[in-house]
Amino acid sequence: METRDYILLTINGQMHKIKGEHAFLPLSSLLRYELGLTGTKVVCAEGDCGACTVLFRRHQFSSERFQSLNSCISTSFLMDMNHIITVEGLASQNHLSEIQDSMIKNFGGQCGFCTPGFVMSLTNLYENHKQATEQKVKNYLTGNLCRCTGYQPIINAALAVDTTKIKPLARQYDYSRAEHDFDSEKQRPIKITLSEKEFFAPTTLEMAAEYKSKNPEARIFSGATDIGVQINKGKNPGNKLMSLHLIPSLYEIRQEGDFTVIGARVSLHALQKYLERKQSQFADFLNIFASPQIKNTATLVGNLANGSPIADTTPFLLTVDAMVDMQGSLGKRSLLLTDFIKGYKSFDLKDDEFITSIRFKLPNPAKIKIGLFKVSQRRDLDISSVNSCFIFQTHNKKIEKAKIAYGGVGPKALRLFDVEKAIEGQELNTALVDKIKQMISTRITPITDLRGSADFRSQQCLDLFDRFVQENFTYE
Amino acid sequence: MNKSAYHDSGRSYVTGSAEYVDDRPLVQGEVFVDVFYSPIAHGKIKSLDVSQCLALPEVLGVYTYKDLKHNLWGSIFHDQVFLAAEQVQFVGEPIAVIAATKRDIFHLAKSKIKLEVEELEPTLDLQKAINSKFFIGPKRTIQRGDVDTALATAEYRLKGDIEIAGQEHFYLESQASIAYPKEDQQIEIHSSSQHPTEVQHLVAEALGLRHHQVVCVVKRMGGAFGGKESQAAPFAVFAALVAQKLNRPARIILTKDDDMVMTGKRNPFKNFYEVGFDRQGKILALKAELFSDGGAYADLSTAIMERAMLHLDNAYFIPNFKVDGQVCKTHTPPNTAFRGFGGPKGVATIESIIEDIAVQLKKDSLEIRKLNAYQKEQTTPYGQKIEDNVLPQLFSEIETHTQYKKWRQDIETHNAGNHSTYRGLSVTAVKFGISFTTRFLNQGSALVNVHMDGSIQVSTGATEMGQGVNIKIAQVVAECFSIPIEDVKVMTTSTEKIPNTSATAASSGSDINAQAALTAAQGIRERLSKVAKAVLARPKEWRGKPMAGAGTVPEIQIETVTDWQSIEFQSGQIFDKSNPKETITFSELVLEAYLNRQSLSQHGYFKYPGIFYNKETGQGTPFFYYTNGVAASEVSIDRWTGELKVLRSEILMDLGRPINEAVDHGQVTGAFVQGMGWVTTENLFYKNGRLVSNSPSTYKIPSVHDIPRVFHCRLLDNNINTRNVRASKAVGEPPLLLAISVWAATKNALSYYKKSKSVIKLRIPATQEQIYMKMKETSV
Repeated sequence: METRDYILLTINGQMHKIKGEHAFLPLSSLLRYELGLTGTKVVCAEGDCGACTVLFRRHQFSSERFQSLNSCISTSFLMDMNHIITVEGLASQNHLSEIQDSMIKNFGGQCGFCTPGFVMSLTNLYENHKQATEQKVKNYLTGNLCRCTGYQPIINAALAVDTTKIKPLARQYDYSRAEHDFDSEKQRPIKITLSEKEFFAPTTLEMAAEYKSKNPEARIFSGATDIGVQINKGKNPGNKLMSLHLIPSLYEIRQEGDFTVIGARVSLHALQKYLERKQSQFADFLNIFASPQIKNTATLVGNLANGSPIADTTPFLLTVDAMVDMQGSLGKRSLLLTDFIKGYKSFDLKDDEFITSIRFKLPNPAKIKIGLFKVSQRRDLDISSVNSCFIFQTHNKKIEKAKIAYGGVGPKALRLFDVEKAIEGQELNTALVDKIKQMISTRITPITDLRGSADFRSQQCLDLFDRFVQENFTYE
Repeated sequence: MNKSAYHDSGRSYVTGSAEYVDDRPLVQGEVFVDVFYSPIAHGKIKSLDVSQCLALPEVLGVYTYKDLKHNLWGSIFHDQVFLAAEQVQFVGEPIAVIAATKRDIFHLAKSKIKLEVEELEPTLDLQKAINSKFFIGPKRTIQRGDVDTALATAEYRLKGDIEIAGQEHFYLESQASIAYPKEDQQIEIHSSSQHPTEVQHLVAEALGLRHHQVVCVVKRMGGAFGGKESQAAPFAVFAALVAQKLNRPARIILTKDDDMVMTGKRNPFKNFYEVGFDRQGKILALKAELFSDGGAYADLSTAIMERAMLHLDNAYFIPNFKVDGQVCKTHTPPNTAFRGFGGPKGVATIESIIEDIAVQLKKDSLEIRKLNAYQKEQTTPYGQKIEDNVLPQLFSEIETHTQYKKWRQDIETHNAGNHSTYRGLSVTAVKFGISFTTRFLNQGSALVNVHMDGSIQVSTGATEMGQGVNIKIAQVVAECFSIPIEDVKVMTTSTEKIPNTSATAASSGSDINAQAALTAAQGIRERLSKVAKAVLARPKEWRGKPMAGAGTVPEIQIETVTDWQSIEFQSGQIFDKSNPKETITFSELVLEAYLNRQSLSQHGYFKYPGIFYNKETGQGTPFFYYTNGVAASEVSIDRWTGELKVLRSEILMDLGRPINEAVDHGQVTGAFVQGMGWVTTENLFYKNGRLVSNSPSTYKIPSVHDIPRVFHCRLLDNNINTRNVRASKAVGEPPLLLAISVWAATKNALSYYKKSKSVIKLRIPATQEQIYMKMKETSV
């Protein structure tokens, strides 16, 4: 199939064909400097402050509502087959949206620099919910920082919105023509070259594997919530950049027997929604994981493939014996996560391979006790200093099965198998807990950095274990 | 009327059309500018090789100190260089200015500059600077009574010290300027600055121009908080330098990462004290030594220290008092103004001392505060009489309103139970002195231009940074003429319209500028009244342009008009009280004034009257008045993790009669939450003098989840105040200091945790790690 050398997207209802250099810009730069849409602001350029928030909707999920993302860390080529709405696109014929109107009347803007981002996040909220409580408002504003208002006027504005007057954004513009254009181009792979730089988007796994085997250095962009930050900070991602966004199967979450299989393109937001239906505690944990903007684009596979020893999902995935599914030029293979992670940002992953999904058995909440913890300077939207997951299964007061994993305690996240063995088959008592804490303390090797001292981290690891057993079990 | 007019930029904000510096469209030939800065804290520059950088096709020029006509600046002392010459004194100190045709070339361009430095031993720690007497400026003292004797004879004494860390401003819009070269060597500079006059002057001096060749324009700032009072200027100078060299417009927009590394913060302080008190908790004597970390250059640090010393008494009468203040030098970015300007460091110290007194005497800290609060017209240690004192009223109202005793009991019940959290409660106060402590800064002017259709443009020296100064000015002017707020626009601030301004700072922006605008408006109103008196007394047919044009009606001679005070302006109509039925609209009147050759423009001027302060003796009346408030905060700390939650904050403030109550409310909640960040999560983490928590992923300002779970702000009904414009009071800084209640409550929670009830030594900020480690310390 013939490739195309451009990406297609709509911005505020209008179709744009983006080529060459512009495709490699952060979306925020494309909007601000090439299209003159300067309402979208850039502050941190790392997806933490939300001033650059815009809304998007992927073509293949046209039935779904618009969602928010951080345009500063989203490379423009990743926006292929998306509809984008910026702050300039909210008012129709000079008639302000209900949210814009409420923000004015409740003094939601002071210096105004964060205001467009807040307006977009609140639009995201009411695009997805008919009503909102104060807690829900706060959850949707997790990814937006304001330094002037103390947030109270913005919360007031959000709660004062007349929700009966809100129209779905899909009706703001006529998308029928654009959808047709997208449909006719979605099966064409993309190849955009710019001197030695190349962006490639295959439409099948085989095509991706072939490209990877020819270009082992190729970097796969998914939500770009980390790599987008690195690029903004001056790090070169290399010359071969690939996105798997045109491969429909990677967006699937499916059950295979007892296993839940999560495709590489499944966003954390989609995963959270799926897990909420299963009443998994992991869904609650994802609640304090990152902001809506990040969760709408970041993926579980990306969180893992990034290799950070403090990735918040890793301890959970380790304790549920997650498997990593890979595709290479010679075919597929799967590995236990504990075997997959070899060291600091290093994996058992061959040059031509990439992760296609993660699979695990969801623990049955009725049968086990689970403790998922994240310790950070600020509770929300912060990188952890340590995190952990404990899963215990008991029978007649005895711990039948114990699973313990920690992150942020060394070059890679750890599953403490030998500590688990020392617990299994035992009844909990103070002496055992002390012994286990003693064992844990000899296995972890945290460092001192800006997120906490080694001493703080070590003590926290033991306290987290203490807390888990004290809150879930009675013993003497 | 117009009590809470919406923010004048509200609509522009929510539609994204509000223009900030980097939103200005690129003009033909415009170039981008960035700064190559020192990677080390202290060293001698051996060599600088920019040839490889210049070789990049996108790079148009690299400039150093040699390219500046004048390289020294400083808001108080001229001790700082724009571009380092022989030595570097902090990580982030500018060395070279790069001009390029592309925005995204600078990471590469900077990596091509070869700098050779001989590293020298840096002083990075305030205590080290204190020990080695590495000082900036003179030591200052304020004293009253005989502090040594009073301490020696006091029944109780406490001796201690408190460490207060710095704070990043985290204005969302980083430092930004665009310089446009104009005819005849003129420069027009658009800057995100609180101090356009200083930008104008420094650009002129650095470039070898006269002041009249430079115009500085400030439309608005995306936040400032003091961080753009002095420190916007160097970046404006860099843009202007490139504009001058290349004769092309030049734009500098710092990244947040670089901005945080390069610019100064709130000054860290280390304060040592000894306090003497009796068994009731009455403070008899306080002797203190304040040391601040000024960073590498003086900037505003000496004035900040003065304000810290002037606020050490806070709301409390201390009969025997002595405070020494000394700014220290370290090899870190020069620290600078930040909302509160020293005040918070004095206030935190005395409020901490009071918490400790309460623990020592096993009393409720509110009792100690009430006992020591200034009564009636007592005098401060620096000799200012407290007039119209509302402090006792504030304490008693917050106690009643919050049902404080029950609240305290609930907390004790909670703490006695078996919970994973401990709670704490504290009420702290603020008495914030309004005025610049440097007398000559307390002046301002305004220009009011009435147009022929009755609409009005107002220009002042105030800069809008979100605090709502423009809408307040517009309201005051609209009220003066009794016309709708929509008929008044406050225009872009420019040194071309209003020169010789002071920074919009010290909470004084609306006080000074709204009063100046009002003075101008009143002048026009007087002329209009005289015209109205005459017009209303003449035949109606004499009005209008055709008649005046034909020259058939006599011109009104306003000098001869008497009894014009009987003219009333009401809802856009003007009439004589003696005959209210006969009216003329404001726009008709304005036209008549023009046709009868009366000026519709006026300049207004204002200075705070009656203030003086001798910095050498530490005595005087430095403040025009005080803004006061109290706040009660309840926190919980998690005994497993040290996690801090602010459960409830109740704020009560005296803001006189606010010009715009909603704007003032926003200032209070905003300042309070910003102050909470300072005392809780905002942790500046340095490595070898380089700030490594230099972005929001590592530096945690409060998020929406961190604000008090229950959060109320009330304003005191104050009808006594007459002092200030429209009987309002300044609001910008004072409420920030009330966030100290959160920190004091944290101390209180820790003292519940630590059942022995001994004094808790806690740092600012009380981070989760700090709280956790404190708990560990006590449980050993």
